[in-house]
Amino acid sequence: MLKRFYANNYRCLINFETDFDRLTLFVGPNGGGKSTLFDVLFKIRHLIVDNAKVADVFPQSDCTAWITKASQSFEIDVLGHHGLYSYKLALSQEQDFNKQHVEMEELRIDGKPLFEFRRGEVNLFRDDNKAGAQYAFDSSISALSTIAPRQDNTKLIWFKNWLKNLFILKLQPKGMTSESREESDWLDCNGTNFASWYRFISQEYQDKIFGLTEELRGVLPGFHAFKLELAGKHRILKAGFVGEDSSSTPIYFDFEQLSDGQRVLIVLYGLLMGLREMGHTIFIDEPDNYIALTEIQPWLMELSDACGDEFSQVVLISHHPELIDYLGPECGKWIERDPLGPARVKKLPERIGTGLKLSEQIARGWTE
Amino acid sequence: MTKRRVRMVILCEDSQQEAFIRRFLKGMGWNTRELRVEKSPSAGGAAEQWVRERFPDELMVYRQRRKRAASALILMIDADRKNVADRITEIRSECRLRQVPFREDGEAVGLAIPKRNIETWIHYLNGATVNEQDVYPKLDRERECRTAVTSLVLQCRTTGLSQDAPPALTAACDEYSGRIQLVE
Repeated sequence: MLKRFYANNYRCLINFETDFDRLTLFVGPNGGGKSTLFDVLFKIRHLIVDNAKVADVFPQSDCTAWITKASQSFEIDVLGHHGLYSYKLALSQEQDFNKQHVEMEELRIDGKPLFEFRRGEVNLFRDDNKAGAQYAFDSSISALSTIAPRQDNTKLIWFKNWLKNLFILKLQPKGMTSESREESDWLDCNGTNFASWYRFISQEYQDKIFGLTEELRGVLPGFHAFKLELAGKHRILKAGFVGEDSSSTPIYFDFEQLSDGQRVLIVLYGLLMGLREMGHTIFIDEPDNYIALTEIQPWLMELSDACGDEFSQVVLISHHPELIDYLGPECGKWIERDPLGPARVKKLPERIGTGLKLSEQIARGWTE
Repeated sequence: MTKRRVRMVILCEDSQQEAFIRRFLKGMGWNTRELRVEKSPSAGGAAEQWVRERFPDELMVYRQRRKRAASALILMIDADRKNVADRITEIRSECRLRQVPFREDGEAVGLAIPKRNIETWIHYLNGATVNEQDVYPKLDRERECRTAVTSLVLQCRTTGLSQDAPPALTAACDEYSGRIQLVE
């Protein structure tokens, strides 16, 4: 479970720090820094999981515009099976180098070292924290990203897997295609490869597909089932619907022929059913976009029931009154900033009266 | 399956009450999609006041809606230091103040009033010996009431509550079987 995140010199995140609960809802004004928080987590995951180059992931344009500091730093604290993992990453943005690189990268558990990478030199430590291999390494990428599993580095690998299992989403139904070229165990940030992720789940966890089908029959009027139809070397995800007479023969539509809202609902319930008991941490920026008002609370109920048991952690961003009123009073955190000022996490606005809903108070701007 | 239509509105004080009652209803065969939860925007004593003040509005809406489709309304409010009858009197007074007739026989309007509060029921259903005067600790997470609710559902579906159940819990189960279950 992600406990704490710190960032410095990344867009509006300057000495920015926040903690997280099992279920967290970030609310606040536009431009306050909520989505930036998700972006930077996505980038750190990309750097470490996809072995990407620092210069490609963290361009200089991502540094805070109004400060001149030449380095960026990030910290992630995660409570895992073996203890509290603390990951630190410092990136150099020196213009003279004309190339961004890792200044420092380290991973500790309960304060004891598992991995250090400083000035181009890697120091590995075993699970018992005794010193292991030392070697020089190219600082244009994360050294942690290249470490393979061994019998004596299970803790380090646990952290890498935790990062791999971060699903950070801002669903864009227009980009979701029906075609799957191959299975994918990860859903990309816009959900565009849902067909491939569905294909993976249907191959590896067929019981989850049964659960999803049953759930969607209750959610989407007329929904019957999915099928993955062979089309040359690829497969096409199709959704079958029946009319009022449920015994009629279903008519199948390409996934991308469904409405934006239907596609988003399918992905949201796909996440609920497909990721159960898989140890993932899920971040969703505005899950309420595109879906009907009647569908928001039922999904939230299922989500909050599952959170902490079937899901290890869920973090949401929303401006929607349904989410704000359902989750805000107990799980809400407020992010805002002044013009050209740093983003800050604050307590939710102090409540006025007994009858005014939190969303209504926010709508009135009574947040001081 | 047709599109979602809410058949039951739940008015409650907080997420713990919501988790308890919603899981109970699910266990008794209600579909989550038939439920609509309206919980207080504020915590503490203000929450109790909010539920009480909101009740007459929801009662009027219930009466309008039931002309078209079978519907139900459940109010959950902690008795705290008061007793259950006092709480019902307060709710009745609120209706009178708003000139809304209080619930009548045959209306699927249930009042669940935990005494002293919802934690009393949870601890009892988890096997502890409880009384209705003491304050029992809150759960770390609302959904941890799952075991307690499962026990309640099992008892309601089979033997009924045992003799040693807190009287307020017995009264709430009677409300369910006498007023709400008929809607199912």
